[in-house]
Amino acid sequence: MGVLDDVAVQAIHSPVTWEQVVSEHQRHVYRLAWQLSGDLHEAQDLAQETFARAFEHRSSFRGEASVRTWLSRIAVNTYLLKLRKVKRFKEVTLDTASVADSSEDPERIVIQREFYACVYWILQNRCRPSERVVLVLRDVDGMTYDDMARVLGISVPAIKSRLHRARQAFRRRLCGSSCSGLLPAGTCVCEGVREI
Amino acid sequence: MNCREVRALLSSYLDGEVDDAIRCSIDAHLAGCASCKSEFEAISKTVRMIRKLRDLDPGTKPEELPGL
Repeated sequence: MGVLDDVAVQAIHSPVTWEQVVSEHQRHVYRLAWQLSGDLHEAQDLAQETFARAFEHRSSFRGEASVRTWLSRIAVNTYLLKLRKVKRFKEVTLDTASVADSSEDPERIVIQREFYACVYWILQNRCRPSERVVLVLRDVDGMTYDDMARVLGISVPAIKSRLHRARQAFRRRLCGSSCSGLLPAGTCVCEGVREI
Repeated sequence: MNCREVRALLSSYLDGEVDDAIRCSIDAHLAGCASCKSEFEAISKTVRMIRKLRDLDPGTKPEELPGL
């Protein structure tokens, strides 16, 4: 265990510095919870429960993974546990989210927003939870395969296989959605897609 | 490598998560196989679409949340 790991372990184990840990990681945990659940209130509950469980089990943190990865694992497990109880949160849309609009052209902003709403809707309402988790961790959160393996408790080869299947499933569901702007290759005519 | 083997590795290849020998084999295969090349482009577009969700903000700052 390196010096940095020692510092992280001490910070996690000390009630004095726990608040700093929360402060440093709350934005990440909240965003992850929101991307997984698609609901602001659920995200609040998930984030709170994640930190509560992390605090309760902080003695189990050994520093093998970063604090961020450790918290992500707890957040994902908390989400999957809640999902088993309620089966599925309500169907979600992008109404409450804000998009960093890079244009001042109102028409273009509308098209951009339609694009985000479409992708977000497919991810939240058409992907299975197991698919959504790997897509969010890798493609939205930018997590490495190694950290994903730690978070999900499976091997890197299993991550590779699961992620590939999830991306293929996302594309199939996008193509199978009712959006009139979709093209056969899984792209759409929205300006937002043309830009990527 | 045949098409089936290549297609199973396209996501890892896209993410730079295959070793050099496999990457070279896939490079060579894609250079000569229009069908797998098309599949790779489709996966790439899909990933770029999902990655755009990084631009989204939930709309509430975590410091505004009760109890955090």
